[in-house]
Amino acid sequence: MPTTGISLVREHTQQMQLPRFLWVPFELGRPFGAPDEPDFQRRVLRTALELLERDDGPVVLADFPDDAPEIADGGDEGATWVCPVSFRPSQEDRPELVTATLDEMARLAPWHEIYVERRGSAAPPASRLTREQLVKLLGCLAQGETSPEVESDDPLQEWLRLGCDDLRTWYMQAAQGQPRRGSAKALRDWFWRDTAAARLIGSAATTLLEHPDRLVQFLAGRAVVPREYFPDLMPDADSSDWETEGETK
Amino acid sequence: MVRLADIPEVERVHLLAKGCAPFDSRPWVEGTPLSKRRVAIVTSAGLHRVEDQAFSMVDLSYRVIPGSIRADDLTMTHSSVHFDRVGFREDVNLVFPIDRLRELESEGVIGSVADYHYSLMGAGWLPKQIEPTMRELARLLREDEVDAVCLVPV
Repeated sequence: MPTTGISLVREHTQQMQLPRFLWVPFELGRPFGAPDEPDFQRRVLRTALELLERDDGPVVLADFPDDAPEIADGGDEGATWVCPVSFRPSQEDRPELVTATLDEMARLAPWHEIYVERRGSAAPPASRLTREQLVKLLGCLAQGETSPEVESDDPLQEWLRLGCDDLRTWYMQAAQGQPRRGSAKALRDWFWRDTAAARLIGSAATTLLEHPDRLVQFLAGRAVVPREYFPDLMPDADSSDWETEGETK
Repeated sequence: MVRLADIPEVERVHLLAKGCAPFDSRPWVEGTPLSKRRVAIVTSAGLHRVEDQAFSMVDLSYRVIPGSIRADDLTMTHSSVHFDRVGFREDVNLVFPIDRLRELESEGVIGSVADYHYSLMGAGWLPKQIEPTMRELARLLREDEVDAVCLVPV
């Protein structure tokens, strides 16, 4: 079957010596550059498809020449995007962290409603749990409960990974509802550095490093908090102890 | 963004440490001009119809995505701390460019859009482990008379 493809990590594609791939200098999670940029997306797709007409195989790795259209970090040149809702996340008191997160979500909710109004609709959460349920469950995990009661048929590791993503997505959408939109990197930094929700997730993940189920341990240590934020959120986790193959991205 | 040089060192080291050995063979298939090809998308973004079973962490199965799918009917159950779903939620074409493919069909750049596209759960498995699934997909794609596949990561 003739194939062409998009590569997000050029070094990997080069090592694997594959038939036809177009490397793009875009962020992970954005293989066609940016949302709501149909002309740009079409150009990326067309460039990848045109590799099908190349006859100089068996290895073709082309480079897309342009960066993705980027949302500026705020309106003023050089200014850093800052969420107008100010948080003072609690540090170590876990029940207080749950309260702080619920309070934080209440303050962000109007921005999320504006975001949904602007976008037309919001898809249901992938975990099928409400964010209030998730926050309370994370609080239970942070306090050492190994299998809190949950309205889900999925095992802990599944609702946990999807639920943490749901929470993060909801926060970022709320932030996108505000007048000054931030870049993906600014939003990521804001979420992981400045919110009580991130501290709650980090607190739960730290506790789960000692969970009796090894799959849950694996998830907690590798796929809940990005390694670059370990010093703040999971100081006890070892960011260097990673397997090299077959793990989650 | 994002070249490896732009990402935090701890992530860069992690990515570069992954084993990405070449395959045993280097297949190379040519075909008719692009304007006559029937094109399908195969994505590792863990996409599926909202009512379908979610992907699990290490999942070797696939989900079929009808070519007529509406964006609101798709969800993503791949998860990673290294990307967010906000962009996908705003525009499914960011990871699954089905509207762009239809436009290229209208412009005559490609011959036609396949009736069925496919999604897998990226990461979590090695190429050898996913090979039986990919052989099954190749069979299904041939039955749909597809002669060009665009592989899309997330």
